[in-house]
Amino acid sequence: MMKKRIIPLFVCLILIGCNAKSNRQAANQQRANDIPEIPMKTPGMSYDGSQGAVDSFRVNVYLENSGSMNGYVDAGKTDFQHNVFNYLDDVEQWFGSQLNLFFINSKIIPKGNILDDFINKLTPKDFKNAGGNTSTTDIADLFKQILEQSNDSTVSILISDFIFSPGTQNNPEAYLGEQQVKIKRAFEQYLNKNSELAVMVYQLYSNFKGIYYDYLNTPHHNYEGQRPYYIWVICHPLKVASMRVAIPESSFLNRVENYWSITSFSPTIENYAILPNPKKGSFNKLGKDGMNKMRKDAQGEFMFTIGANLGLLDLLLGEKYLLDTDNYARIINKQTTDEWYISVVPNSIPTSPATHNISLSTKGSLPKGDFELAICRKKPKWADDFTDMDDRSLNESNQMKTYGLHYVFDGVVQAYSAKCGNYYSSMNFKMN
Amino acid sequence: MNFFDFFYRWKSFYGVQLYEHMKGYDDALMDYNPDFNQFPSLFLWTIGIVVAVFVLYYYIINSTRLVKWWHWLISMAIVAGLTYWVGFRTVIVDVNNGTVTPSLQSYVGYNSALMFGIYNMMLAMVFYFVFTLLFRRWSRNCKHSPWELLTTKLNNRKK
Repeated sequence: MMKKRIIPLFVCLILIGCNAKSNRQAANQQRANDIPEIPMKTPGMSYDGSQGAVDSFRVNVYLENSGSMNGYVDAGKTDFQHNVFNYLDDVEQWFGSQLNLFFINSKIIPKGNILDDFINKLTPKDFKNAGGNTSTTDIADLFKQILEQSNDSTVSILISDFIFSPGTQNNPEAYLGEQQVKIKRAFEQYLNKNSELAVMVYQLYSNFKGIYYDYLNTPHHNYEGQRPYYIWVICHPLKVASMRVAIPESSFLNRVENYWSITSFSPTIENYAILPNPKKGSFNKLGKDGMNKMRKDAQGEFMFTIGANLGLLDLLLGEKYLLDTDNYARIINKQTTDEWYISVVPNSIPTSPATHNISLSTKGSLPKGDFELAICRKKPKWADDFTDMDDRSLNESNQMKTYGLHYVFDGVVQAYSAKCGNYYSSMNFKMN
Repeated sequence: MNFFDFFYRWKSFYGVQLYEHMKGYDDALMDYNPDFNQFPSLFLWTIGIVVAVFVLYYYIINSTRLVKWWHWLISMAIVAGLTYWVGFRTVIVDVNNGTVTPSLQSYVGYNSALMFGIYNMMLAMVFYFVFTLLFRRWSRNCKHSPWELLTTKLNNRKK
């Protein structure tokens, strides 16, 4: 009788055991053939870089032609000309039609559609002969003019050295502050009319030979060296994403020194979770976004790691922006805190949908309640690093910098913060 | 924590990461995949071995010649050996087949398999001991192995 009872019990155990074992092996086999794709599509948006993604729109290219730009052009012999020509050619290929080319200073000067004539054959003389006020640069006015010509179906590309020209102003810093406000106002006015706008900025370097004008507008003759210049692309966020895919930074002839982007688009981060590793101390995971029984380790430290799919933000904002821990805000029970340190690294696990691992650690008290990690709309750190406030003498310490640069970025960021909020997106967790 | 995970909760003994693996953590989901949870099957194997050896010793073999305390100890050693092997093998097969999810791979290896085998063995020994305390009284010949039943001892004293 006893034997009859034991045999079915053994059979059941063997079947259950074998079944659980084969599940993971079968699933892994399936996964090897079917690596999950990062969900990059957003309803109503297409940015795969293909021609199909580019519907009817126009691309306007504005080359600032003030006197300070003369040193960048020399009938196709400078890095500036090679690189800008190459970039605009890529844009033209992506766009699939000719670009609308303009010089810009105190007014917009049409220059036709022939790219080669526009940039490659350019000389300082052409700049001067084009007309308008080339003696100073009113950067806020440049943005105002460009944004007045823009709408959702326009891609505007502004190429300039972005050197403010306070000239004979008694208080240059007041002038810069005023310019910042005017830049902010120009973007705010655009965002009032059109809710979607993105800006991306490439910082590049070129050999420069000729007259350099300092912030007092004093000419320094025969300056020769490397100088920064900037390509600003202003358009609908969809176009930014599409252009980023179609024309990656690697396609530039000269290395892109720095990149920054800001957008009104706030994508929701849908796929994020607390990971079991790495960590310090211990906690119990409660689903994907909760934890309890948090304990510090022997050194009094607690750390947990979040895996998040930031693929779309990565495309829009760039990897460098997402890896900069200054661009994250920690909000506990609706109060921002600096007690939690952050480190961000790319997720290298091919099967994981997460693009980034974000570790948060603290030696302070462990909170209970809502923990929010937000990605901020901020100017890039390099805007401050590359800002020069006195360029009367160019030397090794400041020749790679731009006079008053951060005021431009401050103005743009202020406009976005006012209209779109301080955060792009956030991830929410429960700590019990 | 579900019923089966409960028995393996002292994860610091064999490794937190191995616990995550056994519970079915999957990088692709960034969460536990219930289909990959190996604790239920492992527990059933373990308890099945305990029950089988217990029944074999007390109710099938049930021999008057196997009633010494060390006979019982041998039966427990058989339980220990088998359950150690089940625990160790469960992990080492996953390690060798590369079915440990990538984020845990560097933490789960031979040593954790060894420790998990020991943990499973100790768990089985506890169960075997409890089974012995609770269910040996109905054995005809071995009920006093490894020691005399308490009720019998009390009755003998009264006499």
